[in-house]
Amino acid sequence: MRMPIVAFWVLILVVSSSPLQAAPVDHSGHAASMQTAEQTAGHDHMQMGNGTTNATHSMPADMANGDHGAVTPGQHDAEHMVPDGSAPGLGGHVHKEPDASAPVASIDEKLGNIIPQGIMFKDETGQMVDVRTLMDKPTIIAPVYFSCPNVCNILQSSIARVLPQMSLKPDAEYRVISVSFDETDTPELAAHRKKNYIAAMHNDFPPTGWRFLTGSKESIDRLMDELGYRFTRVDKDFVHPVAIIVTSPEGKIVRYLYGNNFLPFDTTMALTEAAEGKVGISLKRIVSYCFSYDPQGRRYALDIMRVAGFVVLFGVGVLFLILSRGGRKPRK
Amino acid sequence: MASEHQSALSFFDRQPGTSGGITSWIFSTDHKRIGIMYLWGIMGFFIVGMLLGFLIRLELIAPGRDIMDQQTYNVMFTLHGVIMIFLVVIPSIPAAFGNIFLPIQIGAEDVSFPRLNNFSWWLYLTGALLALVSLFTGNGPPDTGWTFYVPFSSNVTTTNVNVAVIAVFILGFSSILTGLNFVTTLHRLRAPGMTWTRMPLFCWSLYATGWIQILATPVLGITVLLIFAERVLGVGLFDPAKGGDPILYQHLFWLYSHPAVYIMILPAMGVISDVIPVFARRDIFGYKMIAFSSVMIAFAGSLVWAHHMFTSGMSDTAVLVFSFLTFVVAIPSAIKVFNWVSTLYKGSIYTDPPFWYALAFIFLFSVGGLTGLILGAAGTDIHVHDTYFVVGHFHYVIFGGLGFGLFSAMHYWFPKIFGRMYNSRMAKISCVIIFVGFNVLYFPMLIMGMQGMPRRYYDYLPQYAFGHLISTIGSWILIAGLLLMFGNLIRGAFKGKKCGSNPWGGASLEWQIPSPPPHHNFVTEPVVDRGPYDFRGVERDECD
Repeated sequence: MRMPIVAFWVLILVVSSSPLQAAPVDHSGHAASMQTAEQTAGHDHMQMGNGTTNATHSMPADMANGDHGAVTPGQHDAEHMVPDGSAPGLGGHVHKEPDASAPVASIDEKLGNIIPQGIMFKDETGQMVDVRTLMDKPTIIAPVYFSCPNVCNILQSSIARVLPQMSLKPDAEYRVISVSFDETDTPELAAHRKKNYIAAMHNDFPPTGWRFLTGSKESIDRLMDELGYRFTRVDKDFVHPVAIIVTSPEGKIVRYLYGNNFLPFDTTMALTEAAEGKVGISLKRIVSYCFSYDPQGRRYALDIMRVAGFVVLFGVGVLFLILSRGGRKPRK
Repeated sequence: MASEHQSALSFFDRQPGTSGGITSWIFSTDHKRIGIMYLWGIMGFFIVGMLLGFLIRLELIAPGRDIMDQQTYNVMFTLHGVIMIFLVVIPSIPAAFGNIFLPIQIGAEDVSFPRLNNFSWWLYLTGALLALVSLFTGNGPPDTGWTFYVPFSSNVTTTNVNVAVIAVFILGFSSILTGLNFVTTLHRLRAPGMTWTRMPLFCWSLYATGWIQILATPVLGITVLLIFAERVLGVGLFDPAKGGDPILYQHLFWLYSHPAVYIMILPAMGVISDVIPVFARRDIFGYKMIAFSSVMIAFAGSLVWAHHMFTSGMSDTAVLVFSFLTFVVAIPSAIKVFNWVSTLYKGSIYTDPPFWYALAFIFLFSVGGLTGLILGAAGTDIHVHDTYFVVGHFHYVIFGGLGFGLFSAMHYWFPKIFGRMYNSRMAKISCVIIFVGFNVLYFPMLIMGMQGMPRRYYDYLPQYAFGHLISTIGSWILIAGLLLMFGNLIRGAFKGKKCGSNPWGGASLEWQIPSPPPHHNFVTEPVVDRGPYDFRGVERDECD
């Protein structure tokens, strides 16, 4: 019994002493990653400049420049993790004011902002409606334009794919609003688009659950301003961010979800957070405690620290209970 | 009287039917033998750490280079810190005296997990040997300071940080398993009649310490593994270029290292709580409050770690919260000090060496504690952070506090362990010399720190030269006193007058068994019907 123990410790000593005199890993990757950020920044500018030819290419919000309100320095979206010098001012580009000629497409996050009443839009039936009345449940707002040849379809198709996979009940527990920021869009066009997306969900979706709104330039500007959604018209098309905004039943902006690829989980999480003002515990609410929003990665991530902390505390509690209830060890 | 016990076999002697020899010690599962082995290790490393401190002070006696270059100096203070903290102070009272006396004080035969206890000692030995290995191989021992702050320790230094942190990792497990052992033992193995409120307060302090060891030390373990991963795999957890944060390291490190100082001080306070009543011949004032305050210190002390990081760039809210909590954790410590002093009131004082060291503890720990408040108040901390004020503060609490607690424990319990008494007069003289040397060494540091002398600096401006000179002279006085004390204790342990079972007239269970204790602690299981500080009918058993 003893020889293996001694041999084990000798082995530990031998193994741990010699090969581990290494100097730390060379971090020359640092210089390279900073370069990438600069290149990306340059690339951005080039793309912007070519607005006319590439007009329909909408920038993911996080790749855009401009005065971001709550921008995080790590400028990678969920798809391509472009490493960059994430110290502010390194890869992040700070511009004093946007170039007059360069189109602006960005999100100025206004978390906590309450959308005011009285912004009127026409829904897909042509009826005038106050946007706030549609937002009396947790709401997903998707700013799009209905003649968008490209990414707005992808965005809304993504929504259409995700909604059936969510465990929440549409219209009863949440709503979706696609609102056009193109003042030339008409309710007929809106209705046409709606038909497509409801069909994409096998017509298994309550029609009042997803509304398609069009409006005047004034209403559009007002609503987009409240949302912090900045876009620029380039002839008949737009340069605009790709994102959805989640609001609470009181009209408060709760979450921005970026990109055009949504996970059912992320959207459910966002809506559950939005509903938080209400009474009643649901399993989702408990799960939401274990997950927290990661602003850097712009998605929900399992908060391992929190979960592990609870596991440890629970384990300690169990240990203490066993010890104090265990009583004296019976003497042999 | 004392000679009656000479014929009985002590735990030092070879047990009949066994071969004896070194394997009966290093593989022993007897808590007393394990405690002795820890004791020798701790005393040995204390001498090593003391020598390192001596050399550091020698270098600092005058500005400029005196006996070593900058790199060597950095290595010196790193090693002094690592050895003193991980190899001496953290294991000292729990692993040595706790192992020997905890089971006896509660009337048990051994701890709950004797083989795990032996394994803990082997982990201690392995960690110590690995730390020694780091001294002599590769690029030399680490120069990062005992705190191993990143990015220096993860990205820059080429010294043996890898080996050193693995040594710390292994030592951490020694600590965790000891803590687990003690907590379980206290819950399960108390003798009949030994209720929670009849335990000596030393046991209560070991209980609180055990919980901290179990909960906090794993954090250290993972933190040092992360340093290792940074260095070897380039993971990037602490590297902003890869999305990491060096402040994360500081949080993780201090999340253990602040509770660690409570692992250090709580057992020492437990010793003082045991010693003072014996030499005042009075029941302790406020037993339940002292027991409760031990647990409170353990709990509240786990919430204050970021007071080491006030200048790290944390938010003001965090600074405010941690500063407030630091003030809160001072309260239970103060309760203890007041209770000890109240115990002395109207007591019948016996001025033996353990009592001298205990009094010195109370004074020096109070000084250290008060300077801690200056550091805990965020505003004043800005001025003194990372200066010699901090160095003075922690030496007052760790050395003045725990150190003197350890010396008190040695003088109190060596006659029990070895069955022989040291020279009392020499012990008292050593106490005075150590006390004087200690204050001459560390008080100027408090002043220099206020005046702006930074810590860990190899060289300094001429305006601090006088303070450093006084401090170094103090270190010589201190070392002289320490050598005198150790010499006296060791000579007393082997050649002193033989002692009976109760030279001090203590009322706890260890004083009712022979000195040195036999292999099996109790002939029959004791039934406890009185408190640990109930001195009615308890007589001193004077040594020959």
